[in-house]
Amino acid sequence: MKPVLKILLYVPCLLLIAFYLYVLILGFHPHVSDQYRAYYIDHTIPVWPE
Amino acid sequence: MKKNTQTVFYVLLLFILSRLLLTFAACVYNYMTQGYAKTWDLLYKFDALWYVDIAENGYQSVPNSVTGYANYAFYPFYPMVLRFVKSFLPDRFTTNQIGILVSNLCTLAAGWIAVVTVRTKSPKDDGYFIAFLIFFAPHTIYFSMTYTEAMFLMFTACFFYFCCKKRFFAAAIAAFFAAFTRIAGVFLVFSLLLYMYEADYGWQFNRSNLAGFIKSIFVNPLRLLGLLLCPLGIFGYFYYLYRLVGDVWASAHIQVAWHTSYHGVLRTLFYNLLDSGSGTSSQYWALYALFGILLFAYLCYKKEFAAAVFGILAVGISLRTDAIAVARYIMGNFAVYLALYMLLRNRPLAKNVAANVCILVTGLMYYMWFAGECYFIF
Repeated sequence: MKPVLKILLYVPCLLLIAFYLYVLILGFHPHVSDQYRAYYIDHTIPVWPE
Repeated sequence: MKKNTQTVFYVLLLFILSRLLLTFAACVYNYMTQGYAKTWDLLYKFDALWYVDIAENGYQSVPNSVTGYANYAFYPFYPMVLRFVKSFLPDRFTTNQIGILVSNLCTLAAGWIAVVTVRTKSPKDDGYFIAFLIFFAPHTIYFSMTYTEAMFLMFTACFFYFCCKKRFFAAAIAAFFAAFTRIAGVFLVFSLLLYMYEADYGWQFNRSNLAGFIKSIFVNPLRLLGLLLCPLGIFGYFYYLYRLVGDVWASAHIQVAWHTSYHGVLRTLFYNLLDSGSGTSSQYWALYALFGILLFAYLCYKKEFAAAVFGILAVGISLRTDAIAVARYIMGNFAVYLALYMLLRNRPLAKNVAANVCILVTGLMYYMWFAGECYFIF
C-alpha cells in the first residue's frame, strides 16, 4: 500500500474514534424529562405515569 | 449445468418447498376455521406491527402515554429498507407485504451464502443441508415475515463467508450492516478480531503473538478501519436517539416497559427454569437457551472460536434481561446453523431424523402462529 494512501486511511479511523467517544460521553449526560429519568433510567417509579 | 447455477437452483428449490409448507399450513388453518385469511395477514403479528409502524411513521419522540412502550427498541436498518422499497413500488403493496418480500429474499440469499460458506470450509461437501436448516428448522418462521431476523442472518452469513475467504474489510462491511439491523451484530467485531488472529498466527496464543497482532492492527490502517466500521451503524442510531429523545441508551432503557430484568444470564436461566414467570413458556425458553449454549460449546470443541464467541455474546445479551423469546435470538443466529451443520454432516441417520423433525415441527409452528397468541413462539 502506498504511504500516502496509508496515511489517508488513518483519517476516517480517527474520525470514527472521535465520534464513538463523543456518543459515549453523551451517554453519561441524558437530556430527558424527570418522569422519563425516574421510570426508564433510575427505576424509582414502578409504572409509566399516564 | 454449471456448479453455480446448480447451487442456485437447488437452494431455490428447497426455499420454494419450505414456503409451500407455510402456505399449506395456512390453507389447513383456513380450512379448520372456515376462514379466508390471506397468508401475509396471518403472519402479521407481534413485532411485525412495530416494524411496519417505524417504516411508515418513523421513531416516536415520546413513549406511549398509557403503556410506556416505545419503538426505540427496534433497530433501524430493516424498516429503512422497507421504506425505501415501498417508495418505488405501487401503492397497492402494503408495508407488511413488502416486509414479507424483503425477509424472504434475505432468507433465500442467506441460504445460498450459507451453502457457499460451508463449501469454502469443507470443499468436499455439497452443503445443501445448511440451507435446508435455514428454511425448515423450528422457529425459522421469523424468516417469513416482517421481522429483522432474515436480514440479520443474511448479513452474518456474509460476514462468515468473507472471513472464511480472509476478506476482512468486506466482512467488516457485512458486520456494519448486521449491527445496524440488530444490536447483536455489534459482537461480530470480536469474531472479526479472532478471524484476523487465526489468519496471522493460527490458534497459537502467547504474549509475543498477541503483541504482534495488536501492532499489526495499528500498522495496517485498512484492518483498523474495518474493525472501527463494525459498530458505526449502531453508534449512529444511538446518536440519533440522543437527538430524538435525549437519551443515547433509550433502546436499552425502554426495555423496562416490557418486562422486569433478572440482572444476569445465570439468574435469568435459573429463575426461568424453576420460577417460570411465564408458565411453561419460561421453561421452554430457558431450555432453548441451554440448547443454544451447548451448540456454541460444540463450536469451541471444533475450534470455531469466532462463531462460538459471536453466538454466546448474541444470546448472552438477550439473557441479560430475560429469556423471553430467546428461541428467536438463537435461531436467528448463523453460528447455530453452522454448529448444527457441523454436528450432523457426517451422521446420515441423525441428519435424516433431524430433517423429518424439522418439517413436522415447523409445519406445526406455522399453524400455531396462524392460530393466534402463541406465546412461546413469538
